[in-house]
Amino acid sequence: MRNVNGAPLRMVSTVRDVTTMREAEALVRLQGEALAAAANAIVITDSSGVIRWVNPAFTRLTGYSEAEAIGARTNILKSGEHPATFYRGMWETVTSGKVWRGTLTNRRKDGSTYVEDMTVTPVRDDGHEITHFIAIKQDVTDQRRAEQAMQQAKEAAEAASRAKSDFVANVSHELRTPMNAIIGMSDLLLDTEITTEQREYIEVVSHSAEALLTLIDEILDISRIEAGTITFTSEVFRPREVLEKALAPLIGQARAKGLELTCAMAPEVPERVVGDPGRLRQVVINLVANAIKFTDHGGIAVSVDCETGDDARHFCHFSVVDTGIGIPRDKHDSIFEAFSQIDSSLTRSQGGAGLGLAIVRDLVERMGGGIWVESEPSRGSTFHFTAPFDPDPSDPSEPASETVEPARRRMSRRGLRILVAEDEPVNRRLVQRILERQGHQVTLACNGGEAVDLHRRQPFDLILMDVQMPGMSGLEATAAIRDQEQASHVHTPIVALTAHAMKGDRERCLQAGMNSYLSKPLRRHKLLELIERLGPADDADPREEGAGRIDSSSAGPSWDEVLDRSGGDAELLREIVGLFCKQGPELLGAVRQAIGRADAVGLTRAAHKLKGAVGNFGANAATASAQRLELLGEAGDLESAQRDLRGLESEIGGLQRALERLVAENLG
Amino acid sequence: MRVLLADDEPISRRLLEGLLRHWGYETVAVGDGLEAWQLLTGNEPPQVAVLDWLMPGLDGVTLCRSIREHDRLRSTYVILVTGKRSAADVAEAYAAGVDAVVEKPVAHEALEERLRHAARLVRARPELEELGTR
Repeated sequence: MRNVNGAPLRMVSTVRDVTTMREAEALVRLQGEALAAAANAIVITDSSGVIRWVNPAFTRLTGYSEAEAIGARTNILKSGEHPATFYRGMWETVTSGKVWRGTLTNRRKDGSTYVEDMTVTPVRDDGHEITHFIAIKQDVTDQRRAEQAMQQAKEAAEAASRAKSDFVANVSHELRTPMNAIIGMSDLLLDTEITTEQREYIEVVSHSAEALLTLIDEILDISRIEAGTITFTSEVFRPREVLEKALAPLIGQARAKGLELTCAMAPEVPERVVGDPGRLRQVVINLVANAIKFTDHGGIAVSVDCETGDDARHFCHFSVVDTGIGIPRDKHDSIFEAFSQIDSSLTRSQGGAGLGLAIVRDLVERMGGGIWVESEPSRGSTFHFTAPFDPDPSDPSEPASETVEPARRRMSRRGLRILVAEDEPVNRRLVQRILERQGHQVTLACNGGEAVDLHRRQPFDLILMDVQMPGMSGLEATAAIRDQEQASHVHTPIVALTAHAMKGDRERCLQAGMNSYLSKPLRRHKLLELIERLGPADDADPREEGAGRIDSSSAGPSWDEVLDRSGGDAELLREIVGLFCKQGPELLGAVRQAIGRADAVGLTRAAHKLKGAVGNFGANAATASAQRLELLGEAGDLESAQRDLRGLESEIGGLQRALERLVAENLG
Repeated sequence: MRVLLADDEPISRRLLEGLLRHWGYETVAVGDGLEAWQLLTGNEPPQVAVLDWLMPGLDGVTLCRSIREHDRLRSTYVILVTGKRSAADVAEAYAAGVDAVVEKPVAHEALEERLRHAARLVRARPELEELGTR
């Protein structure tokens, strides 16, 4: 028998049977050929790692010929991509007689790298000494690259999906702001003396706006579900209270359709549990609103029962029974999918994008429960869902305490001094109008800094604070106000106003020292309710001296000057200031974009327009700034334009604030 | 007297509209040149047009040329309000047939004076036309 180099290894035996020996020789030759023909690279080294034999596949893989390889050490293949400990581990394994398997990156003769799966098997002689190692290598470079490409593609896809969801969330957020104005202004209009016909029209506007808002919220929810960013809180709450609050606004809706809405709660349902009351409310509202939507006669019954498991968790089972149109059996599953309603014509007649049930299912499942429906066409439907809740750790048997009781009802208070800090002019005006109609005295601030200043100078009974304002945010302003109050032991209630429909906002607001929270679009009745609750309890007359006007010390146009610009018509002036507050940033945005695009013609146009707009207020500094940019646009000097942009931005911002302050001071 | 006001910039438009009404003129305000043209060529065209120069659709000067070339509208009194103030620009405006150029930001007195002038002409027009047909 010969070793792989052809040198005699040992004699197999004395020649006893020529036939057997020939057969053995033939077998060895065949085995050699098989090794040579193998697709896998095979290397045989001696016990010190010097290469003794390679097959042709090795040459194909590494670029080293047989002659180059034999006598060399295996470390000619080292890529340097693995640490020394990696090779040491491999060496220790094989020298201790064990098989080593692994994947490693090696370097070819031409310097390029490849990835291989390798198995190294030690070979022992009769005395059990390790004499050789056999390494079998498989090139897995392509496979690895494909995996990497796949991983990258997956990451890219995930990033794109996140970006899309972010985009949808942002768009939804941006949509809420104008919706605020539409709903709010419609509310105000309904409060004025209008004809029945006009009232009907405005009610249509109002209802449509509400419907649109629901849709926006649904889209926001779906985008969050897709992005996996939907979050759940874990807090102690009373299921009874959550249900009552969820159903309260729906009772009116049901009654309007001549339907009865009832709610029954089994005595086993605990007084307090731990979970996410907001999400539970959302699910109940959705299911009940849906039931109302699809029921024309009869009524809707909500019921809850509960079982407490061995682990003390409460398994609540909610059901919503309606006497509506019902759902065919084959649709029982698909109704829980996005963009599916039983009949697309219903979508048109009943409104909604059919996202509600998809959201509900997702919420329920994420809460750890399940949802299903029992229904037959024209025999009504019953939606069931279950949700497990943790027990209240404090004391589950503790009866209702006073602290949780909301709304310390008292007579509606008027004449409160209220500071409204809000940067968006339409919202500001809206809030101002609502409050003034209730007889409150309103002071306006356009940003957090102003709010803090005003608070230092005069006392307020209540502060309404927009969270997102340029410069000092509402949260920062609140913190600063709380600091100021430390010395005087005064605590002015601060209510956050925010268009963020985001979870966690509430917590951030409360953490910053705010007392309560209203989400935009602002509803008039909610705002007034809250004021009733938060207003000062003492009977001191809130109308004191010193709650007067802010002195306008900063430079800017004077009142007489701007009033003169509108021919002495104060209402007209108020209106064009309002327009400017909206248009100014838009026009400025157009200037900024033109500079960003290096579009000199666009810059000239945009700056010209802006100049025209600010010129209406006889505002010299801002007009001059805009004109300079117009000329730079004509000259094609975008670099200087870029440099001067900041100046223009601050002039416009300053003018806007000055005008708003003038209007607020002089026209209230 | 009916006055057409065309300005694409909402603040200026609202302000001028307010002023014109304040001065007692029946005013209709539009946001671009094409809309202005539609109004002019419709029933009861306004006798006076206060036009911004730079507007999308149809700019004020081009609009004025069209007015002068139109049989029925030829005698419309056209006031151009513009931020352009170079001699060449003003000359171009007058060459297009503009009756008066008022600089932006608009000095109220100047505009009011121009409108009074326009009103006198509009009142006098039937007499002038009668004279012309004799």
